[in-house]
This record gives sequence, C-alpha cells and structure tokens, in this order.
Amino acid sequence: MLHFLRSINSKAKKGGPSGPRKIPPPRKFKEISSNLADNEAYLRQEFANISDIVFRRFYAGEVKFLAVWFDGLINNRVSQDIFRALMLDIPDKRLLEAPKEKRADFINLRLMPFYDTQKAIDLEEIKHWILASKMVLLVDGCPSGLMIDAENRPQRPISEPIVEPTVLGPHDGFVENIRVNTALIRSRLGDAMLKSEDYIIGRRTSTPVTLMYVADIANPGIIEEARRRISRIDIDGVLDSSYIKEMIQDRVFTVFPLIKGTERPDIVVADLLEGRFALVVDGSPQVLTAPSIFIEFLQATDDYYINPMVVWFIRSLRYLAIFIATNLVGLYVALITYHQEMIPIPLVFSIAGTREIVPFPVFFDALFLLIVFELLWESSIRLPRVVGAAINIVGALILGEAAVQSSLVSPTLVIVIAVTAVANFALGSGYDLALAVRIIRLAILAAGGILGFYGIALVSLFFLLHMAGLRSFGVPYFEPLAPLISKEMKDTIYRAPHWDFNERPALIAGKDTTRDNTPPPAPPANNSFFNARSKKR
Amino acid sequence: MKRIIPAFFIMILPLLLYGCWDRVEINDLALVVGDAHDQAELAGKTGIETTFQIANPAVMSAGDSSSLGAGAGGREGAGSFWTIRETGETIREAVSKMNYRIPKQIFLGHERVIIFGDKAARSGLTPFFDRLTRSRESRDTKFIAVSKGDPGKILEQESPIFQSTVLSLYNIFLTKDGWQGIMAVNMADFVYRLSTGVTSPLAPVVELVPQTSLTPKEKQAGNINTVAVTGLAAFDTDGRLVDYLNERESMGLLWVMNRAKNRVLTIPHFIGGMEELVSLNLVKAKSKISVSIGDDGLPFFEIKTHVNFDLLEQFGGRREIVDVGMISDFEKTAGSKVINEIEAAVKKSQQLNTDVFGLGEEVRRQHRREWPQYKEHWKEIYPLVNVTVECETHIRNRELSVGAPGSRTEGAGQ
Repeated sequence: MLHFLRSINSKAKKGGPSGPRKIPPPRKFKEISSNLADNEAYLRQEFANISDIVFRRFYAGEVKFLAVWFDGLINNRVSQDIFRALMLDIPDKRLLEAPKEKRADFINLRLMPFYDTQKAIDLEEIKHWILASKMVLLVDGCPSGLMIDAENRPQRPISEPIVEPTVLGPHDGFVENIRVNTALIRSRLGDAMLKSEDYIIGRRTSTPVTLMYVADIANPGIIEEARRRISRIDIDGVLDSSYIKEMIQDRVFTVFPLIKGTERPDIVVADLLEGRFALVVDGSPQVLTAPSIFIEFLQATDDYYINPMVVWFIRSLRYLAIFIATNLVGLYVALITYHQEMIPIPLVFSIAGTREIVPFPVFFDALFLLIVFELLWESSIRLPRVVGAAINIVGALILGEAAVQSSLVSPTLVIVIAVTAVANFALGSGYDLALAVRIIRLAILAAGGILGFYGIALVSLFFLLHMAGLRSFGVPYFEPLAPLISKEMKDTIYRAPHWDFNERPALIAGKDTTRDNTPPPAPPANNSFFNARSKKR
Repeated sequence: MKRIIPAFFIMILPLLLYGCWDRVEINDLALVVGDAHDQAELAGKTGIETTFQIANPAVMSAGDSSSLGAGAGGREGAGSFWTIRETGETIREAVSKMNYRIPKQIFLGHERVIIFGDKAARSGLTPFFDRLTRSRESRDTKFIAVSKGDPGKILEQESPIFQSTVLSLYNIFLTKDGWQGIMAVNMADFVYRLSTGVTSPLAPVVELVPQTSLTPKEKQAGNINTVAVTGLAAFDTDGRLVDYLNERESMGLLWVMNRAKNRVLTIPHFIGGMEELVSLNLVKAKSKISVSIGDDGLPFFEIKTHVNFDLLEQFGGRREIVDVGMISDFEKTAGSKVINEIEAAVKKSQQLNTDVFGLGEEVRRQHRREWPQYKEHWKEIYPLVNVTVECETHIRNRELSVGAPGSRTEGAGQ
C-alpha cells in the first residue's frame, strides 16, 4: 500500500515538461499589411464560423477604418464614443495630412480619449487582443493597428464574501474579474514594493494570472520557486484558481489544504505583509496565498478585528471544534463497543437503555447517520433554492425525530452526530479544512469501530505524522508548533495585541522581518492632560 | 522499506491482542453494579454464595422518556434492577452457573459496592479478593462493606429513595465519607492494609434497618426496611473479621486517622444549675501520632488532635454567648469528649489486638532502625503499648445569632 502511494507520488513529481516553458507559447508572426482589405480577409479567415464577432467598416473623412470586437464584451458607450470621435468630430485635415504609416500613431496620440490603448504591428497580436475582449482598430494604408481597452465583460458586482462572511471588518469580497481583484489588493496596499507579475496560463483559455508579492518582505527563494512552479504549468484551460493550486502544491496525496484560497482582500493583504505571495487568477473569486501553515486554517478574519482578550477563547473553541469534528463519533463508538467501563454509571444506564431496542450495532448506526449528514450537506449545496426548504424539513424532522422514534438509531447518537456537524463548521475560515475533516472523521470512525481507542490512537498518530511531514513551499506545515518557534506563538491559540506583533514569521518572510515598532499604549498615570483642560474651564 | 516493514509489524501485532472479536455492544452487557458474597453449605462442603445486582437500563430509560426511548425494550412490570443468587465452590464457578439464566454477557466493570457476609468475613476475606484483583474488568475503586446478616438480602431490598440499594450505598460512601462514624473503604485500601501484615484492614458495616416512617404504599408492599451504614468492622492481618466497632469507637478511629470531615458533637453545658445542650460542627480536624521508645523497650504513642468547631445549635439556651469564658468551657468539654472517643477506640483495638490505626506503620516510619525487632512480635506488643491522647479544640464561629431567641445577656432583664 505504502509502496503503491510512493510510486504514484514519484510519478507525479517526474511528470510535466522538463524545463521552464515560455508563456504564452511561441506564436507565428504576421505583419499587418498596409492594405486594409488584406488584413480584414486574414482576420475573417481566422475567425471563420464565429457568429458573435463584429467587423465594423467605416470612413473618417476619406480614410477607411476597420473595427473588430466580440459582441457583448465591449462597453457600448465607449465604442460609440470612438465612432463619434472618428466619424463625426473630425474630418480632421491633419489625419489626412499625416503620413499614411503614422495614422495609427496619430489616432492613438490625438484622437483616442481613452485610458488604455496600445499599438500593434502583428496581426497575431491583434487577434490575441480581440480574443482578450478588447476592441481593435485598423487603418487603411497603415501597417499597424490599435488596441482600445473598452472591455466590459459581464461581471458580478463586489459583494460580501459568500464563503467567509464576517461580523466585523471589511465586507468586500473578490469577484471573477482579475483587474477588480488586483485593484482591491492594490488599493489596500499602496506600496511600490508590492510587485505584480503577469502570466497567461491555459493554451486555449489564455487565462491571465497575476503573481503578487511585497518585494522587500517576501523570501526571494520562495518567490523564485513560485515562478518556477507556475511556469511548469501547461494545461488547456484554467477555470478556477483551484486548478493552479493543485498544480503547484508540494504534496499530491494529502487531504490537507497546502495553499490557502480566500475571498477576502484583507486576508490577502495581511498574508502579503507576512511575506507570502498571492496568486490572482482571472475568473476566480478565490485568491491563493502561500506558503500556508496548518494553524492558519483555524484562524478567522474576525480574530484580528475583535478584542484580543476574547480571541483566545474563540480560538480555543475552534481547537475544541476540530477535535470534536474529527474524533467524537469515533470515540463514542469505541466507548460503546469496547470501553464500557469508562462511561460514568448514570450515563451508562441511559445509553444502554436507549440502545436496548436499536437493532443495528452502534458502528453501523453511526455510519448511517454520518452518511445521512454528509448527504444533507451535499444536497443542500447542489439543490436549487426553491427546493431547499423541502430538504430542510426532511432532514430536520424525518431523519432526526423519526429515525429515533422508529428506534433505528439511539437519541444519544443523534446528539453526537449533531454536535459533530456543528463543530465541522466552526473551524474558522478554512472551508478546505472542513472538507479534510470529513475524511479524517470517517477514518477515525472506522478505526474506533474496529480497534477501539487503540485504533483511534493509531489513526490519529498516522495523521499527525503525515501532517508533520507536510510542507507548503518549503515551510513546515506545523510551524510554529513543530518546529517550535516560541516567538511566533503570539498568533496561535491566542492572538497578541497588534502593538505586540513585532516580527514577521521567520520561516516565511525573507528580508524585512520587523513588522511593528509601536510601543505598548502608555497613557500618563496622572491624567494631567485631562486636568489641565478642566482647570482652564 | 527496511524501517517501514518492522514498523508495520509492530502496528499489526497488537491487533492480535485486541480487536473486532472483543467488541460487545453496550446493550448486550449485563451491567453488574454490586455483588454480595457469603459462605454457604454445599452438600457437606463449605462453598460460596454469590448474589449479583444487575441493572436493567431499558426500564430506567423508559420511565421518563416516552417519546424518545419509545418504551425501550423492557417488559412491563420489570424492575430497574435484578438480583440473582448462585452457589459454587469458587466465585467464578458460581458466576459461570448464573449464565444459564442471564440473557446478556456479565460485565463487572461497573461494580460499585461489594458486600461480604458475616460468615465469610469471619472465616477470612483473602480468598475472595483473588477474583476481584485478578479480573481485568474489576476496578480498584469499588467500595467494600460487611453485612451482619445475609448480604444478599441487602441487594434484594428495594431502596425507597434511590434506584437500588447498591447505588444508594455507593452514594453514601461517595458523599458521606468521614461524616459521623462513616468511613468508606475501597478495595485498594483494603488490599493494601492486608498486604502490610501489620495494619488491620477495616470495612464499614451495612445493615437493613427498619424505616422510621412508612407511606401507605410501602406498608402495603411490605417494603419496610432500608439500608444503612452502621459502623466499622475490624479485621486481623489475615483478613478475618474480629469484631465490630460501635459508633463511638468508629468516631474515635476517624479522628486519629484524619478521616473525620463532618461531625456534629453535642455537649452538655450547665448554667445556674440548669442543663442546656450545645451542638458543635466540625470544621477541620488534624491528628498527629508521635512515637517514642520507652525505658521498658516498648514504643509509646502520643496522639495529638487539633479540632476546629463551629457552634451550630444552642438547645434550650437562656444566655447569649458573649463571654469568652463560656466558649472556653465549651471547648474544654468538647475536647474531653473527643479524647474519650479516641481512648475508647484505642482500648477496643487493643482488646481485639487489631492495629486499625496503623500504629505499627508509624513505628516503621519514625523508628526505622528499631522496627525490625518489633515487626515479628507486633501482635504480642500491640495490646501492651501505651497511648496518650491530647486534644486541642477551638470554636471559631457561631453562625448568625449571638444567642438563642429569648436568651439574655447576663444580668440584663433580671
């Protein structure tokens, strides 16, 4: 079994192209012809059998123009402005007087009151711009074309993050547009050291991906490794950041999330400031940040916005929650079938009494209810909202109350499963971790049902060893607990006040390790400033 | 691979010890909460009679949760607890015979109290403890008790207030340890004392006593008894019961063993030729035994007891307690009463020649060098040793009132 896993692992490591690959892949070069008709013919041939493309021919004065774009991806008002500028506002003599080859430059510099334009001399590049939902303008007699960014892709407005809602703190979340997402990050972190590098990934989708990091904080080795891993990717399409996540993580066979995805710009900025890098992928509201460590998944954004005196309690609740979510069902089954002497006597009577007429062994009962819970979870995600209420009623009434009344399961077990289900979603911001917990819980249930506490100890040991061996971009997964870095315990089970976060995580941040030099708040002991004011009165 | 294969085997091997084949559902267990053992005549031979009290949880949970438990599996009219008696030459044999009648697997992990009969106790408890200490399921923390009559009868008695007599006893031992003359003794204590060969084991005595007040329903059912703890039994070092200590001697024993936790001590007080009664409540008691070797070569013991009381009740009191002299009077009387109790206990234990205080242990601790020469002859020496008792008492608090309602300060009013 172990051997089998290892061989798959090594295969996965070896797979993929050997050296770094240029992105986007090398294209052929086709010069723009001075003859507009030639260019049009070429583009029409390239975009044959595409119904939603628009070829718009028009004259400005005596000069022939061709505008090409995909219908629906361009802001109509902007395109109207372009046509007005060229067709109505000028028959500008200077356009005609300008040398033919310079017409594109002339229009670009004088007549296009739009913020992003670009000149191209390659028809392939023109084609690429059209595909990247830009508008393209070609002028007769000029061997160059213009890209005009009048992009207006259909998109969702910025809204409250769906997966990670919060009570306090900012309420904006990422959307599917990479430019909006980078803007959300950039607007929070106005530092010239926040660098961004663009990649185009996906042979067919040509998805823009931006790697962001703060150059004088991040560890250059980690950034270089991130570049290397991104450049290895050779895939036809990237539909979500999770595609990238799977292709750049350190270990293939693990249920634990090794790279964090988040919908919240404030989390991304906090991670950037700790020396991590962020990967923004177009079309995905989940921005990836790495290197990630285990305890990050037990933290929530709120922790940094509420009173630190309260945070230790909430965080310990989460640590309790992950224990309950993974172990409780297994422990219950093990207690009932192997370790009955460990149950206090009044409890043993009540459990044994309610189990008296339950026909199945407790292990199958637990498995049954657990699977019902997982089914409810799955179906409530997939269900159309209209039908959702029906499933809720079935889940709450029929499966809970009726299962007990028909004595298929014991009421104690229903409580155990309910507590487990609640704990499963109290893990902080890590939905990824909630998914991992599902698998671990099943493993522990099986172990508890087969071998009792010994089995649970064995499986827990296996998972702990596995986790201790994980790394995310070289950073140990259990950092700062193992290896123990006592200085960084300030953000584990408790959170130090912000004026006390003096250093950035040493294993993650590479250079500027000082985060904070604020002295602790120290109001004058005698409140003299207050007295002085009241005396004046 | 060199390291994985051994690691794999180390993980697999314990599975042979333990695993699926040991699994039992909790509802397939006959949960024994208490057992009683006594000697019995078996066709001319002496044998064992064992009584088990087995819980019937289905009935218990059916009582209050009609909607959830859905009536559970218990038969109408079945009791919450079931007792079963069997005889055999050994305990294991008697238990194995019970299997003909018990529909579930006998489980001893929840035994709470073990009661031995007078006959068994007098012939020696050592053989009984073999099963109790050898069994994997058996716990060291279960309580030991001795019954003056048939111990099985105690299990069979219905408890008027608790689910069963055994659980009632268990709760008394758990919550009332050190109250008045009650001392809870668990199996580990008892077996430890047996193993020293010097200190005598003790066990509380339990008895069926008539209920002092009966409801018509109980009268009709003939359910007129209840179980009570009535003192202590002293054993010799071989585990044979020697005699019972009465309440006063038990109380004296608790003072010396530092086990007294809660005690109401009533003392008479004479004022103007009239008697009034004062009840004091124990707050804290601490005893120290010091050993010295006398000129005759025998060890002698000084027991120093320090007791703090609260004043709880002044029955028939006519004077307010404002006078320090009055309080020191109380303290003096209380002290002498404590000394009396301790002396009575010492006297009885020397009469019975059972070192229940662990005085021999004290010699071993304090005079390690001399101890070996006493050890062999401790049985002969113990009845002869001198024990002096001192007691210092303090009354710290008199709760809310200064005097009983209607009481007067001296001189006022008259």
